[in-house]
Amino acid sequence: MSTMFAAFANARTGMGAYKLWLDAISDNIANMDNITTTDQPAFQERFVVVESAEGPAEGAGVRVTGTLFGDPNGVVAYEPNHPLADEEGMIRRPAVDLTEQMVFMQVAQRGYQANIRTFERAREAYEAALQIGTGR
Amino acid sequence: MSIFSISDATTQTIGRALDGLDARQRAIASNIANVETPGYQARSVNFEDGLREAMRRGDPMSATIDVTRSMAPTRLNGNNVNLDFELLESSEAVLQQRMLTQTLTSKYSMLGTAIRGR
Amino acid sequence: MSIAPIPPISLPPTGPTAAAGSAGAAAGGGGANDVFSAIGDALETVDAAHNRVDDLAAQAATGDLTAVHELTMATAEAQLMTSLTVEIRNRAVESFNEIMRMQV
Repeated sequence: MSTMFAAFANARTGMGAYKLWLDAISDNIANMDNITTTDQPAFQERFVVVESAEGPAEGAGVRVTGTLFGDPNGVVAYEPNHPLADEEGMIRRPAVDLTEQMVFMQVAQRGYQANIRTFERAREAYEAALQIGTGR
Repeated sequence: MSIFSISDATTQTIGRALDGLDARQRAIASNIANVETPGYQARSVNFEDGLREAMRRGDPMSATIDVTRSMAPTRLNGNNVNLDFELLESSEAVLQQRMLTQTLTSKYSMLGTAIRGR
Repeated sequence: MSIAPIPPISLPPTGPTAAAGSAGAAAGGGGANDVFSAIGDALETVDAAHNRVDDLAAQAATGDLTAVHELTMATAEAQLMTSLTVEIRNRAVESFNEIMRMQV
């Protein structure tokens, strides 16, 4: 990555990480009502794992190191009328909490937007630097 | 240096301040990218003190640019980036940077006028 | 026979020039030399500035430049140094020509 516009590069890492987190959240919400039979694993909640990227003292942005998955056991519930219920009337639903996902979404969205703003500020600064000595 | 050298203490000071502001922008961008990274400590760039000191010595180009990690209290995840503070800092850095680049441009343009004599 | 007329033709112009040149040297105490050696020094400084711009421009092209303002400042300064040198050269040449035209 170019060192010339390093602030862009740093903001870009943030935009990438938050975008990924938002994708994971929307995936979690989309699948939160997936009901399975008790002999099948439940949909596992997605978590994005990040760490501070290695680089100069002033930092090089964020690095996504991987994804973690939630509990495959999910939540076993008694719903005897459900077509997927077993002999004891039990089904398995994912352990995804909507309220929690909504909070994550807020946080991720705020982070994404903040990175876009940083990107715009950095662009303003670089444009000013490019104007030095022009227009006499 | 002879009179033919355009670079003087003022332009060197401004140049070094621009280096410092550039580093500050990078640090802010990195802090904001890491606003939710567990255990991340916000970086802050200080070049003003180093620049003042170097100006006293008469060599602004030798000014140091210090990067320190914030000791502010952390949130539960060990992170202490304050998003509002960072966004304010970046606005300020941009304005400061524009002020300096405009000063440079005016200075160069004045020198140009003096040289051409019209 | 045809060689004889030539020396009288070339001599009249050199007469006043030599007079003005020696007069200038006597009055200025090597002033013209100082101006031109200063321009020589200036050209070295300007050359160094141009080399710096070239280096930074190459860095910009390869993406290795660390700060945009370094290049733009170096360019603006090199530009000013060039016009300062050219301007001084022009004035020096003008003055020299004027001295040459001077009626003694």
